Amino acid sequence: MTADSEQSEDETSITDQPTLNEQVDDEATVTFKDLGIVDVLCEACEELKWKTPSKIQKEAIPVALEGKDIIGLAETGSGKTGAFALPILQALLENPQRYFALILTPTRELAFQISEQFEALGASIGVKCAVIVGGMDMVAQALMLSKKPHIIIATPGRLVDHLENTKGFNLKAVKYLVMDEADRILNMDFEVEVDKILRVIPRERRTYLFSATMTKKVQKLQRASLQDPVKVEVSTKYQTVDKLQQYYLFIPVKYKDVYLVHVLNELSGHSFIVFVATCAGALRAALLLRNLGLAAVPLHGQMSQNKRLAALNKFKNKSRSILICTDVASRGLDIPHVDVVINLDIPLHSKDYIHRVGRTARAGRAGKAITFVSQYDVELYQRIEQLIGKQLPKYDAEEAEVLILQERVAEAQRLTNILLRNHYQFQIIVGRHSLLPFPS
Amino acid sequence: MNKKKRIYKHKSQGKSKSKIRKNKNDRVINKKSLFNRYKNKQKIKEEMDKKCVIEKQFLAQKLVYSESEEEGDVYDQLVTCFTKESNSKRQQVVDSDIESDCGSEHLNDVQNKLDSNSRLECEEQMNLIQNNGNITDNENEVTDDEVVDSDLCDSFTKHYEFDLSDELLVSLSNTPPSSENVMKTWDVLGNLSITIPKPVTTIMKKMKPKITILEEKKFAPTGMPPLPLKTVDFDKLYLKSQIHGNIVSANKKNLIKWDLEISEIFTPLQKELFAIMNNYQDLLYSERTFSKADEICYIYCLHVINHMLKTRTKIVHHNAKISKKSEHSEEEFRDQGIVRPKVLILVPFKSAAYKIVKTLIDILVPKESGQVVNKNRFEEDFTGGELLMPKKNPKPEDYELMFSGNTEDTFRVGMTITKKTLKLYTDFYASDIIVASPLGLRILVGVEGEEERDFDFLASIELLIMDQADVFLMQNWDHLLHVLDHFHLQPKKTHGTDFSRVRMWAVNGWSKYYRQTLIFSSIALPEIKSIMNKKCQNYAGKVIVDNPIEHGSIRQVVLQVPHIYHRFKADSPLESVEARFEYFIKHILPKQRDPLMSHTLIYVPSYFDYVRLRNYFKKEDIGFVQICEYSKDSKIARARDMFFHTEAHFLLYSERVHFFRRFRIKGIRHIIFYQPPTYPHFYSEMCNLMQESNQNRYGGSECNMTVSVLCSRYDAQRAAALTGAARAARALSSDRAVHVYLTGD
Repeated sequence: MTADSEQSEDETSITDQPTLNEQVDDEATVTFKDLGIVDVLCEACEELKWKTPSKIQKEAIPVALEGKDIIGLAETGSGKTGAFALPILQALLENPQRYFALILTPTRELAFQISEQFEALGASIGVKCAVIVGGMDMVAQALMLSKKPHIIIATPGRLVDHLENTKGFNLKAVKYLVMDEADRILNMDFEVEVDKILRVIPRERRTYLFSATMTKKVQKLQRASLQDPVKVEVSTKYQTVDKLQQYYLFIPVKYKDVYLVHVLNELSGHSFIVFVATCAGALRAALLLRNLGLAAVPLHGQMSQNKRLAALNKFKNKSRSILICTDVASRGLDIPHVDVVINLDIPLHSKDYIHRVGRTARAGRAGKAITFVSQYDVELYQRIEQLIGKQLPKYDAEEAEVLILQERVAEAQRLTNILLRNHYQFQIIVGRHSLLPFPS
Repeated sequence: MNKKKRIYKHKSQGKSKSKIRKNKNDRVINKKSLFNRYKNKQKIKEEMDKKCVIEKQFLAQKLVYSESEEEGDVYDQLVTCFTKESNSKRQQVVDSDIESDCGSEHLNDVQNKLDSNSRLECEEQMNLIQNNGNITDNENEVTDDEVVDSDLCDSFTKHYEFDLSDELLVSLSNTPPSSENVMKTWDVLGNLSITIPKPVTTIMKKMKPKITILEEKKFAPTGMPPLPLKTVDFDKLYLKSQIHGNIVSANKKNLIKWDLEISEIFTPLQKELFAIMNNYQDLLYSERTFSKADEICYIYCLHVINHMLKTRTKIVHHNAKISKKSEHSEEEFRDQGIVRPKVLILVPFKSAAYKIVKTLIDILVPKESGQVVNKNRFEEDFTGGELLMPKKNPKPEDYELMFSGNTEDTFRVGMTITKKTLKLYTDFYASDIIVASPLGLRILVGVEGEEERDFDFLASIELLIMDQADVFLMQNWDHLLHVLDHFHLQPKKTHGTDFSRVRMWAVNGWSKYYRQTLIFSSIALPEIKSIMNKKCQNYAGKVIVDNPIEHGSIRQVVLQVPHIYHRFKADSPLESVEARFEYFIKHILPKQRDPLMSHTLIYVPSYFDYVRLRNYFKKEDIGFVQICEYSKDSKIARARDMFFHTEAHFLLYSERVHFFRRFRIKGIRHIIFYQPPTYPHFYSEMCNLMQESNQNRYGGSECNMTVSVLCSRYDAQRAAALTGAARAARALSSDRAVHVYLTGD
């Protein structure tokens, strides 16, 4: 813990010390009720097995109940959703109203996850939520909106689509605006959409921004939409968790696949998330691993929403142990049992590294992260080291041992290429629009 | 203001005279009906003038609605003005015509008292009108029980305004829905079997949460059995005042036909039908005849217009309110379906559609007062194309009636109702009413995989009418079923719907429980009844007119001939197809192949059976000729010739060709009805073709003639139409499988 976080914590509790043991003690003493949450919601928390508030909840809830805007900095999995859901539900109880809060998230999966939490917390008081994300039927969503839910959880693009095209839908009554993964919403060129949304919702509202990382752009956003915000921070800016063992593996590009198979073999029995740079890459890697008899499932932005949810569920219920994904899955997804994160392609933005490795070693468990660094990635890698402020150890792999696999992997690569070629040709025949580029 | 106070004072004194005056004062909108009823035009005119003056005073004080408001009616404007200020209870009262809205009491101190008084008064008014102005009798009749929110009395509001409660929803989604059965007997319609879904109360009641952020809701009432109309009272029936003047004039022809007074307004049949329709219950009436056709057509057209006008008034009111309401008002105005079309009328031929549109025009915009857009195009489209009816050897009368006018069976017209016009040929998504044939819709609906298919316009149908449903069976029943399967699905596109105004039950996908279906057919058939039972899920329930057939069409057979009814066993309707074929081949055909039994016509109602028999005959190399609806004219002539001249032993004859062509086949000595015919009168008609004048003297003799009918217990209804219900029941339940009846004396 750095001084930065201590400062903010001092505002609310003196006992909170940066050591782990005392943190546990502290959590035992503070309850949701102490934070000012009403009984109905406390009961809902108990039913969800939330015994004590998490750090970010302890920090944010009292501030939120005071009616202030918040900028919250915390990793996902730290109870962030609860930190804004509870105050919103409490405000809703006091002043029941339709279209009460709008939650913006960058990814569809995250939207569903937040909606689940809201519904679980608000079941006893009859909260209605609507998830408005891309890839789903517009008319069905328009009908959902027509039911006047209390909470709308949306990705910006589709929401703007509805604002422009769905007659009779507006956000003039919104009282709360939450942006989850706020910096990502900007990074992914959502800026235009977000601006449009901000223009149509009332200025008289509460605004919460939550993210694990903050960029300068968020500050720009803050100027645009926040009123006298309180900054709530619970973790060091870009620190990675202590129980996370991070390694790098310096290898030539052409051996990436072989090394990947080697690492997966060596650590078999664990669950993996393998991050790649492109959708096509994810597909290719998944097919390659399947050819080698490894239970891999891809997750990327060009899959339909149903397939994405299905893939995620397969991984969550452990029927597949390897999830190959693009940065779609790097944030926010609550997957409890990831043991190893492999960066097959190095992240282009060094902050994405934090998010990626944040998928493992969550909730006090240990985890491993292995980053493949090729001859072309050295500079990017150095930036990451700079960002996290430490030098990573090298992952031990006996080259001779690895290259034994070369022959089998090469065979699998050949098969994969044939499969992919057929796949794309099929797509051309049936005339799908979402043509993936053929991988080199 | 003073004036109003005065009225109130009068009221409290309970002086009946003042009541009448007030009555007339307030009922601006019902001008025409009052004229009709009181026939005291002058007096009323005075009153009207007075009223106008009061209104003008008012409008000077109040905010006046913008000019853009579609409904120019001053009265409506007044009403909407008041509702803004008055309490919520009063708001519900607003839309009804009967609501006398004493209008002026926005003085807070008097308001409450007046509120209840005005309703009392409204009730009294109804009584007054009923008793034709006989005031003194009514004084004592006004009791507290009678004081009801007049708007809620309107079956339209009652049916469409509220959501379904969970209990009722559970009941409806059960198959079959848990329901209550009531039998009633009415004068004209006879036996009514009324089925009303009842909410399931046995399921565990949900614990009511201690705290909830959801609003209290009022749920739709469960349906009530319809009550027969004693007198026709426009206000009690909540007929929109706009059409009061046209109701009688448009119905004049029917009244004259039955030799009734104009003051009767409806014929007895119309009264009873309208009682059911206006109760928003499903109706299956299978005793339509050509003589009743116009009456029936009129009464459902009236219902359609009434329904559309109420819907429209509501929307116009809401438009006005919305344009006035503040930005952050929480009030909701839900008055629409997901798409616009609300009424679908299915008829088999253009001629029938033509008559419907004519009737709609008569009721809504009779010649001088309104106009019809695209009328010329419609006239051009829907007239002409008549079949040539032979003068010599005329076709039967029912054939001439059925096929008079344009007989094309592919058409669809959208219609929009505005204040004073009826627009024809509007785009479906801008239409209120669609008149179409099953085939016309089937082409639009298409099947899975077709590029251009569209069935979104069926999503919000609130009123489905099928007239001459029996003819659909002759056209193509599958088309109808296919179209019915595409009702109330979630639309693919939004079609410019304002989603904040879509009714909650439509949003929830419960439209199917709110649709009223009216089916008129000339024969009772299981196929039609199954549509009623399976595809109509109106929560208000359904009424099936179900009278046993006393005498079958066998009575009309004039020849002396034995009718042999063969009963075969089958355990399900599907199995009966197979069983029928087996029975025919094993028991009937071998005997019939005897050279003595030549000149046998085999009458096959279903085309599938027809093809099967034809293939079998070909395979077995049995000498036969055939006539079906696809045969060429030359082939038909040749077949008839060969059959007559004993060159072919059998003639395979399909029912549909008989329906569309009505040949008089000559030289029949034996008829085998492979299945009892769909239309009972075809039975006697076919049998009577065997009369001596049609016979070939060299082909068989008079003493060697038979009629055979194959039936299973799934043909009970058809058989009952031939022999009469009692006889059919006996034949189907007795131990013996073969029954013989003799006709002619």
